[in-house]
Amino acid sequence: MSAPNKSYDPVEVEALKPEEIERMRDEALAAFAAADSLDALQEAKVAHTGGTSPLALANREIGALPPQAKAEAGKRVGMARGAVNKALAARQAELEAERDARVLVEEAVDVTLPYDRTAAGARHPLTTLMERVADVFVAMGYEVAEGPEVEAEWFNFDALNFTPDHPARQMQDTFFVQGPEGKSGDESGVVLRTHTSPVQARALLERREPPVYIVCPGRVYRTDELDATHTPVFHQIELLAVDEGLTMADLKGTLDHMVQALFGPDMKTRLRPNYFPFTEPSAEMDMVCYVCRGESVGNPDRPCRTCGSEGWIELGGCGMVNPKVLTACGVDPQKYSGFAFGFGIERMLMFRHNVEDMRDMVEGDIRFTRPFGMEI
Amino acid sequence: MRVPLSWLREYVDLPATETGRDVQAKLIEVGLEVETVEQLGTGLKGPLVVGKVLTIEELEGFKKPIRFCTVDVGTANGTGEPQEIVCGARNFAVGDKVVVVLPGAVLPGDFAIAARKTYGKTSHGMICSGDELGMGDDGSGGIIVLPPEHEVGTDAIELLELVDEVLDIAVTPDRGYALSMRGVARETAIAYGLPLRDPALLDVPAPNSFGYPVQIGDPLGCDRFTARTVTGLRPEARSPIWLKRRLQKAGMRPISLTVDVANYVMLELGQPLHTYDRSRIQGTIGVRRAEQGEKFTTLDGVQRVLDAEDLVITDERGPIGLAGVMGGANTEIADHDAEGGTTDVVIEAAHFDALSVARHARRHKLGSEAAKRYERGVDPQATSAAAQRTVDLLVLLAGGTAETGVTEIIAPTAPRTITMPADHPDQVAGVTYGRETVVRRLQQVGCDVYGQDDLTVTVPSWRPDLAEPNDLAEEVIRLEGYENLPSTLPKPPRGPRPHRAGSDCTAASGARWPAPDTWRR
Ligand SMILES: [Zn+2]
Repeated sequence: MSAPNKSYDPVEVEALKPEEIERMRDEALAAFAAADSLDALQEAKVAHTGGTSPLALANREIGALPPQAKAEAGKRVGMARGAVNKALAARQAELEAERDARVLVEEAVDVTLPYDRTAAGARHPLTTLMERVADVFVAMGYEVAEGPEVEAEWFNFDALNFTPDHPARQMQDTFFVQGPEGKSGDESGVVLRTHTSPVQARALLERREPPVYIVCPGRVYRTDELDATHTPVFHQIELLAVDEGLTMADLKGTLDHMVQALFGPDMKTRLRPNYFPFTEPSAEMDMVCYVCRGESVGNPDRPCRTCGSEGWIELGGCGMVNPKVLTACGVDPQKYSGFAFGFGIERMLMFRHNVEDMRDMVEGDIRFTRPFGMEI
Repeated sequence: MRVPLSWLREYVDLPATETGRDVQAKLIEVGLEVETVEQLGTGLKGPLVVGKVLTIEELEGFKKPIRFCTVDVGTANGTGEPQEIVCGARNFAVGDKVVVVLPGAVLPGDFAIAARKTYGKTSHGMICSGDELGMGDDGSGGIIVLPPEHEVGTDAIELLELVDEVLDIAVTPDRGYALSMRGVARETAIAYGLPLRDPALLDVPAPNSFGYPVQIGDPLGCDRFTARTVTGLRPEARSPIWLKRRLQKAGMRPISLTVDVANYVMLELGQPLHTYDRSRIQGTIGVRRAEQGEKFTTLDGVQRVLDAEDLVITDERGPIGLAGVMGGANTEIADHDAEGGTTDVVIEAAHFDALSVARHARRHKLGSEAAKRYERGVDPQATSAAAQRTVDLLVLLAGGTAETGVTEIIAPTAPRTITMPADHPDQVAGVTYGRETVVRRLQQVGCDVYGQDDLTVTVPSWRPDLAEPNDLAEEVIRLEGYENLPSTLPKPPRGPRPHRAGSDCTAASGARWPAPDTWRR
C-alpha cells in the first residue's frame, strides 16, 4: 500500500479510482449476500468494514490528496461505505429474524410429552434440618465447629465439670470404648460421646482467646434401646458463645431469635431452672407451641397433638457456661462469660414434621426421606 | 419425690382454694420440676364406711373359697340392719373392722356399686381392698383390716384420706434437699411468700455421755452420728392409717411400725435413718472402712464381699450395716410375728460422705431411697432433729419410752462461705436487681449475708450445692423468675462465613439419602 506523499497526482492513486471503489463496494455487497449465518456475516463484516478492509485503507489515502481531489475522492469513498453499511445492517436483520424463527421451532417444548429426566432427590431430613438450624447461627456470625465421635472421657465429662462420681454422670448411659492396650471399656478413658458438649471444651482450647461463637452439629450416642422415642444414635446441635459481658438475657435473646427463624416471627421461648454440671445457672428451654400457640391449654374442644395441649414444647438444656468449665479450658472466668445450649434434632424433626416414630428416621428407608426433598 | 398436697399444707398455710395444679405452676416457676399432679380419688362417691364383721359363712361348692358375711355398718345403710356381702378375700375374721362400700357408691375407675346376685346370694356392696380404692399396696395382701378403734359407720373416704393430690417432682442431682417434705415446703413458702413451719425445728436434748456408745473410726466418711434409744415398744403396735397413707401417697410401701416411722421421718426431713434391735447389737457401734474381702450379710439375705473402700457400721463382732445403704440381717428389727419381737431399738441418724455412699451403693448394686439422698447431699445438721422426731413417733405410736442418753458425735466443720460482688447476679442475668433484692433472695433460701459492695454469704447446711458465686446468682435469678429475663442479642464480631460445600447438587440430580450425612463420614 502506498504511503502519503509518494505522488502528488491523485490519478496515480490506484485505490481511489472510481472503478476500484465500485469493485470494493460490490465485493462487500456480494460477501454480505453470501453470508448464510450470523457468524459468517460477522466474518464478512470484519473483512469489508473493519480497520484493514480495502475501503478503510482507501479512505486513509484521501488525506494525502490536494483539496480538489480530496473532496471528490471523499465523496466516492463515503458513498461506497454508506452502501456497504446499509447492506450489512439489512442482512444482519434478515439473518437475526431467520435465527429467531428457527429457535422458536427448534426449542419448542411440548409440555404434554412424557418426561425422561431423573426426579429430584432428597437429602435425609435430619441433615437438612441440622444444617438449617446451623445456618441460622452462621448467618449471625457463628462458626461451625466439629469434634470426634469417639471422644476422650475427659472432654465428654471431666472438662464439663462432671466429677467421676457425680450422679449426673450416671444419668447418661455411656458407651465405653475398648482401649488400645486391650483395656476394658470403662478403664480406657475413651467413650462414644454422649452429647455434643465436648466440642465446647475443644473449641475453647483450640481457639485460646475469646470471643468464641460456635455452633456444633453432630451425632451422639447413648445406650438406649431403639423405640418410638429413643435411639442409641442420635443428633444434637450445640451452641457456645464466650465473650466479655455475655448475660443470661443474651442467651434468652439468642434462643428467641432461633425459634423465630425456624418457626415464625412471633415465636418465643421459656426458661425453667434445671441442673447441668457444665452450666450455672442452668435452664430447661421450651418454645411456645407453634401449632396451637398455647390456645389448647385448658381448652378440651381444641386439643393439640403437637404439644399435648401443654402450650409449650420442650427443646433442650441451656445455661451460662460454668466458670469451672472456662477455667478447665484455659479461659479467665473473671474476664469472660458465656452461654451454651443444646438440643436433639430427632425430637425437633418429630414435632416440626409430625413424625410419630423415631425408628422411621434410622431404618434407612428412602421412602421416608423422599417427601422431605431438599428444603425443610 | 412424690408430695401429697394435704401433707404439704402442714408446713405452709396455702390458701384453701389452691389446687395441685396451682402449686405445680408456682413450684415450676421457682425451679422445681413438678412433672405431674396425680388426682387421687377422682370420681369416688360414697357411701364408703367402716364396718364390723359380724358373721362369716363359708360357701361350699365353688372353684374358690367364697364367704357370705354380715357386716355392721351402723346407720349408713339407712336401716341399721347388718349388711349382707359376698366376699372372696380371706384375710379377715369375725370382729375385724373393714371398709365397706354400699350400693349407690362409685369407686375409682367409674366402678358403680349395686346390689347383685352372685354365688347364689345377693351381695349388697363390697368389702374393699386397697387396690379397689386406688390406695396402692398396703402390704395386707387382701382387703383392708382397720385398727379396732375406728367406729362403725365412720366415713372411710375421709378416714383413709382417699381424695388428695400428689405432686411428682423430678429432683435434679444438685437439689438433694428437695427430696424431703421440708425442702419442698421451703420452696413452696418462698414461691408463695408465706412463712414456713420448719419440721426440723424441734426441741432436742443436749448430747450426754450415757447414750449408746458410738466410736467413729473414719470422720471423713462420717462427720456426724446421732444415736438414740427407745425401749418398751409394743411389738404388736401397727402403723396408724395416716402414717400408712402418707407413705403410700409418697410411693413407699408400709412394712412395720418401726420401719414405717423411719421412712416417714426420712420423707419429712430428708435424713435417712436406721433402726437396730438393741438386743441384737453387741458393744460399741463403730464406723470404719471395711477390710478387703470382709463378708457381711445385708437385710435382703445376700452375703456380700466387702471392698476396702466400703464404709460400714460395726459392732464388736463386725459389720452391722453398709453405711447409708442397707442394714445387716444380724441386727434386723423383728416384727411381731417373729419370736419375741423387737421391744428396744437404737436409732441411727448419721451423715455419711456422699461419694463413699455413692460408690459402695453402686459397687454392690444397692440403690435405696437412703442412698439416693446421701448421694445428692443430706443436711448434716438434721441428724439430731431426725432422731428426735423418730423417738417421738415411736413413743407416741408404739408406747415406747425414750432413754435419756443422747449420743452425738460431731466432727468439727467450718460454715461454708462464698464472697461475691453484690452485683454479680445482675452481671450474670443482664438485669439490674440491686443489692437489696439479691440479699433478700439469698436470705430466703437460708443464707446469712453480710457486706455492702462485696457480700460474704454463709450458705445453709442443707445446700451443699451452693459453692460458687454463680450458684448464688442462680438462686437470685430463679426466684426473681427466669420468665422475667429480657431478651437481648449479642453480636459476634465476625460476619457470616460459608461453612459447607453441600450435597444439595447430588440430591438435585436424583440421589436420596437413607441416613443422615454424619452416618457415613
Ligand atoms: Zn400445641
